[in-house]
Amino acid sequence: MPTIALTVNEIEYVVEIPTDMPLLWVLRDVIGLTGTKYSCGIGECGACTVLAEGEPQRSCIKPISDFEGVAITTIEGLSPDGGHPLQKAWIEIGVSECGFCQPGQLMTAAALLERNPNPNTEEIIRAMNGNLCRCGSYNRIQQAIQHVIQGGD
Amino acid sequence: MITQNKLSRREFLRVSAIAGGGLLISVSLVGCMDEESSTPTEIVTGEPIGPPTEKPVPFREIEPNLYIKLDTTGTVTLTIHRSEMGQGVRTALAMILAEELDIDFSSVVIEQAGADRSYGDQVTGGSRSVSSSYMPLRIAGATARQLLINAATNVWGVDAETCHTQNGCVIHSDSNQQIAYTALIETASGLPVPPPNEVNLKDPADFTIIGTNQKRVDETQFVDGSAIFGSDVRIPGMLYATIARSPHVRGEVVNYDATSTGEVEGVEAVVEIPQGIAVVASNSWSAIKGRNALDITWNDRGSVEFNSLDIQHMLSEEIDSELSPIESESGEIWLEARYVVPYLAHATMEPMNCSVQFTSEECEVWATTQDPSDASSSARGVSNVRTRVHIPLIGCGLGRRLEVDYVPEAVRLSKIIEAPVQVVWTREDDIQHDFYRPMSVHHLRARLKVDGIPDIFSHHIAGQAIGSSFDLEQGTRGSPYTFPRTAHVHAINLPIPTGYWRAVYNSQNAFANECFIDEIAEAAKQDPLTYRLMAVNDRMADVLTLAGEQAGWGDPLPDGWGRGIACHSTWGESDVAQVAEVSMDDQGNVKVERVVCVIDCGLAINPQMISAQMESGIAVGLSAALSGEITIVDGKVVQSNFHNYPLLRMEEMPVVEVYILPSDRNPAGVGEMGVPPIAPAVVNALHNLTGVRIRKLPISDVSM
Repeated sequence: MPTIALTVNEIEYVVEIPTDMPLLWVLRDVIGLTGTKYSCGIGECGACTVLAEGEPQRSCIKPISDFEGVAITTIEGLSPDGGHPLQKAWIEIGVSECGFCQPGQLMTAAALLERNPNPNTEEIIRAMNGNLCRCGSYNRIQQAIQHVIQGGD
Repeated sequence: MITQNKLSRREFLRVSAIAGGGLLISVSLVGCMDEESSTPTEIVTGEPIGPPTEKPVPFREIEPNLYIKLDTTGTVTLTIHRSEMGQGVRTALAMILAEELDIDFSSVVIEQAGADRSYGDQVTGGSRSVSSSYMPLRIAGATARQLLINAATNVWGVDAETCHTQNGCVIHSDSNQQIAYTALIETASGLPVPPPNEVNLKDPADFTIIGTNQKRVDETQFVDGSAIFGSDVRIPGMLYATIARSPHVRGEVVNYDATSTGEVEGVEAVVEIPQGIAVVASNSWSAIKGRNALDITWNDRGSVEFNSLDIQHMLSEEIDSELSPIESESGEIWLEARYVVPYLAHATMEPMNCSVQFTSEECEVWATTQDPSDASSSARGVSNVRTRVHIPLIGCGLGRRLEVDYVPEAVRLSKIIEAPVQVVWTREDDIQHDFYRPMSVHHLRARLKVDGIPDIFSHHIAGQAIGSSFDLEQGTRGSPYTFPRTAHVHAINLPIPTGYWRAVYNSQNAFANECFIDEIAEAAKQDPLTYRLMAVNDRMADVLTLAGEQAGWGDPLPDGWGRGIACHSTWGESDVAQVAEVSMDDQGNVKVERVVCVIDCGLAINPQMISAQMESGIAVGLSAALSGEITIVDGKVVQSNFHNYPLLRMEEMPVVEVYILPSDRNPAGVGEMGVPPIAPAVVNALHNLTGVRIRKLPISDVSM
């Protein structure tokens, strides 16, 4: 099997895997970072969202070959101590119910605020609309993002 | 009101010393749940549950199912035997214990129990994971508090009446000296359990934790990726498997060719099991790819005959055959209408999965189950050795995980390949091999008196039974409407797998009932809210009144908006009313703009969690009402993933305002209660906007 070098959360990994394997499964089953979730496998729900050079990517449909030499950030690497303003806001607002989709929600939100620190409601909804939450935590997600925009910590 | 008469059952509680210092309080839930408990009993979810009680006097010898440990460092550990799936049970139970024990809520540590017969009923269903533990936990907390007071009085040589507790300390009121619980544990462990007449429950008026908004005890793990859901379980040496399952609802493998599968990198084995062909690999992707490469011939065992449209007709005909013609006298007002709701999949965000490991002595199972007992017995039936079932976090339950089909197949596979394995369900597996909410057809008929209130009101319900035909009646019993009603159940046997979907038949029956009530109100020339207030009991009237006030019922709406209302009492336990405001654009696209939701669920433990549960109920109910539909064509489920079984997205989420009515009833269910009213509230709002009555869901099937 081919050998591929990856950088995930600033750690370098060399893995022997088929090049068509989506990043999601490399993270979950090969490297052992299970914070990134599988839910649909077709890029419809956003549970698998990671950042590649800061851009949100659906890791369930993108093959690992697309990520050689690309800095990947997963939920485990969003902050060293869970102290990213969004993570704090998620707790402050009490966003999570079952919690399964929240890593993907957080990564999408983090990418949004990275490129636009002051999005309006419409921009928040447009950015987050691809991330499904079966528990319907959408209003609290918006509140938590607003909390960060307004300087809450 | 909370009464103390349950304290007469002292046998339900035991206190013992634990090695290394500490107290263990073991409580039997059964022992303090009797007919006098105000925890409602008219709850039906699943088969009768828990081990059969053979003892004629079951409370004589305790079988504890709640464990509380107080150690000398000040940590209080509470073992929880229900599954956490987003309802916040861990937090709510920690709050109840902390309240009655008078300790800091944050000092409670939660331990998740595995499947264990001694816990009795472990089912997380029927919206009762919090309410069923309320009194037992309070009694346990109050008893432990009294025991610690007694220990302090031994140390100080004072009367117990002169002592009280506060924040983990016993305080002598006269001298104001205090001593921490931690310093009393050793003394307490040598004292007898205080008799019930010496134990006083707190006056709810003095609660400082119950009824306040508290953050989840387990919130952090959800935001840093450390939460371990079932699919995140990793066992050393574990392999991953997917199973090719019959595309027909009851098909079987005739033969298969795995040549191409064997060439997929990472594939380690292909195994035929009763559920289909399992592909085992070193990772999930190879297992999925290997499965796609299988060449399988299936039979259908006659299931090609089944189409959801035919089933709908069959259900309708079943009702037709039982309906007698209306014999109308002149001047009488009769109304009738027929409603249809489709099959629905659960579509939990985390698909089904199960991990299994055999060791030399036992079989260990990690199952995301709402029914640990059933998971355990189904696993044991295959493992034939001692079996332990662990309950990881659950990425949404919705009732799907009351079924345990994902357990025995994983145990069987692990046993055959002699390696630890995780069976991964893809989303396609999950949607196409669900236990669906049954399709149902409803025929309602009413004769109105001059005041518009029916003196005849019948509701014929035709659909598949889930556990028993009793399921079909759910939501007609415990109705808040006070006029005489009859429900007629037509339970049909079909091979389509059906299961418990959040709120079970309450969701279908409330839709039909509340749409029909709106039609009656219109025929009686009454406002929908005013009419309901005339027709419901006092408890629901309070809920409706507050909903009307908060929604600004009767206030003008923007052009192109409509407003509707619905109410429902799920299992007669908690009452919910919802007012929906909807809009429609030039293309006929419907948007639910705002929902005002009022609930009377008895005493509220954690209001912010109740609000979250109402929002999630509304989101699940809206997904179903707007576009949720499973169709069966030639015995196959058509939908397969979120592109054709869409879930509500952020842009579709209405503003939701939740109001909790103050109540001195004991806590009642919350988890499912937000679902039933939303579909009829939206449909009634669309009628208000367009004049069109929608009688078949989903709304997307109707051209507006």
